[in-house]
Amino acid sequence: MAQLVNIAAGYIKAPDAVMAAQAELLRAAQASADRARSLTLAAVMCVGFFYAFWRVSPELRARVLCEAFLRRLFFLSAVVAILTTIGIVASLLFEAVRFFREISLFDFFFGTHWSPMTALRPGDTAAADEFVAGSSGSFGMVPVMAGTLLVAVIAMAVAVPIGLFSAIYTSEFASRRVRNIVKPTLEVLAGVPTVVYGFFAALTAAPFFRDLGLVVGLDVSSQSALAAGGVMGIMIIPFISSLSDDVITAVPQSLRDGAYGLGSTRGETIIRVVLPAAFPGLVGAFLLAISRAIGETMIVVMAAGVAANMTINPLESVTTVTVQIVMLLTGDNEFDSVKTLSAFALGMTLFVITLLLNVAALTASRRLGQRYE
Amino acid sequence: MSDFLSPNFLVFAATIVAAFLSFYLATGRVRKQAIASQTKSHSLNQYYGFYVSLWVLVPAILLALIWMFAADPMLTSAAKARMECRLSEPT
Amino acid sequence: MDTVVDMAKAIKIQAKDVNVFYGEKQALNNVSIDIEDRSVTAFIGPSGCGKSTFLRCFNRMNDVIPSCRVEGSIMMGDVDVNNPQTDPVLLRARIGMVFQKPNPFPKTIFENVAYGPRIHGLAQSKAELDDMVEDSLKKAGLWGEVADRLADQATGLSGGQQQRLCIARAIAVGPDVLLMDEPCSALDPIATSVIEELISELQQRFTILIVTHSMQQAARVSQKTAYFHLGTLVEYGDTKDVFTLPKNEQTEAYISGKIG
Repeated sequence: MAQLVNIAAGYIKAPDAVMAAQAELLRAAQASADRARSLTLAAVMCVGFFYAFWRVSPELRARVLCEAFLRRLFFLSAVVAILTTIGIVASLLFEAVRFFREISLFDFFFGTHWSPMTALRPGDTAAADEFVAGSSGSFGMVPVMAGTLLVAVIAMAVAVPIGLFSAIYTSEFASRRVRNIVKPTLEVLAGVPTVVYGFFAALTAAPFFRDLGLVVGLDVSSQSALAAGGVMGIMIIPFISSLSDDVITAVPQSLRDGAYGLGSTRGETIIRVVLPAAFPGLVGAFLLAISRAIGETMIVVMAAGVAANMTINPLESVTTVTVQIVMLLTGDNEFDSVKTLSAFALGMTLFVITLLLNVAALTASRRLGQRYE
Repeated sequence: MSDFLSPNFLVFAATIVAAFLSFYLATGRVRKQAIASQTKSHSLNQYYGFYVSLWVLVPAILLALIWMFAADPMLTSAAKARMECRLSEPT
Repeated sequence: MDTVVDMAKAIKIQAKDVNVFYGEKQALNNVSIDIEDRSVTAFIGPSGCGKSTFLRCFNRMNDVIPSCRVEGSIMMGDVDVNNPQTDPVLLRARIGMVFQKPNPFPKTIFENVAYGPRIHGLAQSKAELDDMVEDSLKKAGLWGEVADRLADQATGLSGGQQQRLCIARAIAVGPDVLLMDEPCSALDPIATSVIEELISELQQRFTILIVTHSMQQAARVSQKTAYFHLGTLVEYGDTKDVFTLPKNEQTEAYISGKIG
């Protein structure tokens, strides 16, 4: 059918006379539909114009009517934003359900072996048989999830201390002048495209860690989780520091005054009063950062591996959910093979996890907001 | 015919022109009426222009959108039906 | 009679020629004042007259504001408050402060009161700390209300209770001076009268300086009143005298409600 449409549009040549005739019919139908549409549009415009034009008079409250239109337009925009989100989720869900018709939920979520590529050699019934044979172990997402979590944990281990401390510095210690330099600099870091971080991870960080490993006699994979996670951590630093800075600044000055008034030093004030007060907001910031780390793609595509190893050793190569989705959906693929569908299942899982993290983050920071109305 | 002057594009351009035209017609009309009846208009003249332009544009856009989502699939499915009919004929 | 009482009271704090600048702007102009021991001194005056700024000079709270500069000398006993050599952290342990809005820390009631003793290492054991907390809460007249829920969050208390908790928290460090910056401005009349009674009791043990917008409050709780106007100390004397026979016209205008 798609072929026929393409022939009619003149993109490809008709293979035989039957097709050509059919395409000709379709094209004729399309042309007449276009004409009909143009005429209808013209008619609608005329009707609209004469109706409105007839109503125009100095007594008509045109300003109020325009306002009403604007209000509806804004409402519609909000609805469109929500509807598209729902649409995306629905399509994701639809494809994921198709996947789970082939592979059981249990195998997917608790299987410990992930190798969709080998399970489905391109082709025919023989491969399909092979796939059925291998289906029990090939789509287990545990190692992929483990890799994702490992990379995210490494990223957070890098980003949380640096980001939080720099936020404490900018919000509590820095003079206004220093703050005006440091904050924009960090925000520039946030503007670096993730592909560039990817280069950095693959070409600089990974060899660096490998060489470092050689020096101390450790065997570091050239695509180690450490390199990917470390660079991802650098990527998240500005995110964490900027959010944490906002949260810490939002702690009322009166609390700091109270602490100083009791004879606290600056450090005591920060550790014993400001940070506990900011804690829910900070947790929210960290959760948002984790959800970003888990969803981050470019760095891990370039610097993490593709083989799904089950390991918690940061020196080895691991793969992540996002890397697998990229692997599964790039290149020539049958669009409804189980292999491709598994990408949707992974995507769905990723979406649910980040959604939960974001909701948790939102709840956490809301608690902070309520406390200091 | 070049893509730029394709019929569909001309329809699109005509719509835009119609919107502008109706804006000026409406402002002109309300101005004249206000002078004739010696009253002050309720709103600034431009609001009458926007009002008429919106009446020209919004129904047209809505119709075009509906057409896009409804008509093309209908055409294709009609063609499909014809194809199947054709294929099921004895060869 | 009054003079005899006055004579009996020692001078606790002596401020001389205090000037305060916020950047270029001068907020206080050559203020000199002698504060009596174990009495309540009220600072009154229209908004922006510098009374709060002056209060914050006594425990160097103005240090926190970057553009602020304080000149002049404030002697508290033998401590030179304004001397750069004086450690503001130790100073603030001797001078408690209560703020305009109740500002309990987001901790439990117990932890709020225990905060000061903890950071200054005042308690040797858990039992001693418990005693200190209980004692402070009793002095602040809050013990009866919170004794059975010391582990609850302090932010769950009512505004008046929170403010008394803040007073308890300040007392726990063992100061001899209490600075109160409009302590009742965020409270309802009933909570206000509770705090005012408390102030009269605390006066037995502490030297209290209180900034207030309410002249009735100054009249009710204080023995001495200082009236500030545009950064200068206009009048200072026994509260009774200031309110009944003000020597200065500006003071009279303010007290009778003509400016404010």
